[in-house]
Amino acid sequence: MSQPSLLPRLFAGPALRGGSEPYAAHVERLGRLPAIGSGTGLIRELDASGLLGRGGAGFPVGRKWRSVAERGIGPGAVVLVNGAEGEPLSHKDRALLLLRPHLVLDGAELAAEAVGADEIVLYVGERHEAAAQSLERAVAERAKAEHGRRHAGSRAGIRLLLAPDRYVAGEESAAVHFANDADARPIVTPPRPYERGVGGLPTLVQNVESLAYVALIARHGSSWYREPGRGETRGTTLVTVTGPDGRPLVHEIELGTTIAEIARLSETPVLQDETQAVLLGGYFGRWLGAGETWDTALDPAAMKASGLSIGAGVVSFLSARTCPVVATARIADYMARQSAAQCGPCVFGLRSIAEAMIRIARVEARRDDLSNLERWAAQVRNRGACRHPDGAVGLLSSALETFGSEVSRHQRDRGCSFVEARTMAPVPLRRVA
Amino acid sequence: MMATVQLQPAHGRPLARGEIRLEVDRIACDGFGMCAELLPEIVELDDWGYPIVHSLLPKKLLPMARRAVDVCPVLALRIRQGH
Ligand SMILES: Cc1cc2nc3c(=O)[nH]c(=O)nc-3n(C[C@H](O)[C@H](O)[C@H](O)COP(=O)(O)O)c2cc1C
Ligand code: SF4
Ligand code: SF4
Repeated sequence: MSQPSLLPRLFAGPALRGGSEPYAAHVERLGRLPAIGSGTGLIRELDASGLLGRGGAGFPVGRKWRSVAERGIGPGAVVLVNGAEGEPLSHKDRALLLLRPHLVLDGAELAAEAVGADEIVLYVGERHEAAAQSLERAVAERAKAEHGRRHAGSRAGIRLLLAPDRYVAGEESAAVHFANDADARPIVTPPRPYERGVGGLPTLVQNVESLAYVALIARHGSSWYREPGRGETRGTTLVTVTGPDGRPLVHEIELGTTIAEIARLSETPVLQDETQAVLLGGYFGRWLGAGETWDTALDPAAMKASGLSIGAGVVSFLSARTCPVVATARIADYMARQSAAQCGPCVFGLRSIAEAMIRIARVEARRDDLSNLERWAAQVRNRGACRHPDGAVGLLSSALETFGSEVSRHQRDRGCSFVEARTMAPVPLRRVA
Repeated sequence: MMATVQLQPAHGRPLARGEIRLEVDRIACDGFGMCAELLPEIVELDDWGYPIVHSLLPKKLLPMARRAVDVCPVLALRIRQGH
């Protein structure tokens, strides 16, 4: 085995343009999966690594494994590998599945062994066809290569499910619901999936990137994982970087890298004085003014202290020539339409919010639209069965803070300071009554 | 007219011993508003007619809360007590 490098880590190995790394190459490069014995050793290693979940909430991976293992060893458990990636601005999960499927499968098998799972459910967004195919091929390759031989996790059966193309389908209870009843809408919790999930068994729902890091930590150890990192949170992470022009690009960065450095990773370099704001964390995240945030380090611990989050690693730049009110209205509209339409405050609240925001963007606001928006944001928060409405109004509130003067220009003066109204959101701005 | 919106202070967190909380199943609730009529002290309705439970349940309201649980047409309410 060659000496592992500090960066890239998930994307180390053969050239990425070569596509999916075959199983034989993966094993030759990294060695076979280490035996993990009882599993508690690996869980302790994960604790020591400080690895945080990469699906958005940033929950410590080791702690989640322990909660499932405590319940699952004996009665059985399930590992649900979350590759739904419903966030429109994120591409890192499908990139990982496409290029390094065996890291994800290694992580899933280690997880199955550590928590006592008999089944691994692979849950991949139906829109991410190439990623799903790569994963399916990888499963077949392993079955063939390992035929008749025992290796870590091999007793767990594997099921591949395509997640419906909905934002909420990747929420953990929705994923479990889909695996159980082919219905990808969230269900009321508790019980949470780690208590009662797929088939009624304790279920570990883990993002694909989180699992890929586990595959490396199991081989190289937690100190190796912690080597890179500039601040309190150690390690590396995947980000999807989208500039005002050009396609989204996925990068693996050292935690603690600043927004300014990430701007240089965009397909066409992003300059600060041509940037108005940064959307951090995607449609679930926050708008931050470019000036104030340019030197912010992507360090989850430091960001948490100032109420920020890296979410699922989305960093998008809004051009200084684009109207932020229009951009926000498009996202609000998208989020309202993506509600799973089960909970009143989410269905009606997000719809009312989106319609008011669209009227403001179109400089057709009613007198009370802005004051309503603020009240509705407060009313909706914390009142859905899942966090979808919280994410949506969090973004809205950040827009009202960051773009306050442009919002009131639209609302009061019925004017817009921007000519160009092209944004990164794929939703057209419709007319609402 | 809508009063100030205060979210339930204990939302989501485990209850301390002796604390009582009225919880709404958000998926089941159809916004009939019966609960707000019976328990105006702790429940108000949002702009769309869905209940906002803004405080923990005082012990003296427990009988009324039990009634609300019974009359909710979709069985969306439950009372949870901290131990
Ligand atoms: C509305 C909503 C959508 C979500 N979509 C995804 C998703 O597409 N992929 C994902 O990994 N996690 C998603 N999550 C987070 C999951 O609920 C869960 O926290 C995560 O998969 C756990 O994995 P991790 O601990 O490795 O991050 C979503 C959460 C919410 C509230
Ligand atoms: S909060 Fe919204 S998205 Fe979540 S379950 Fe309820 S209706 Fe669906
Ligand atoms: S009585 Fe039941 S259905 Fe009606 S608003 Fe209250 S919780 Fe919802």
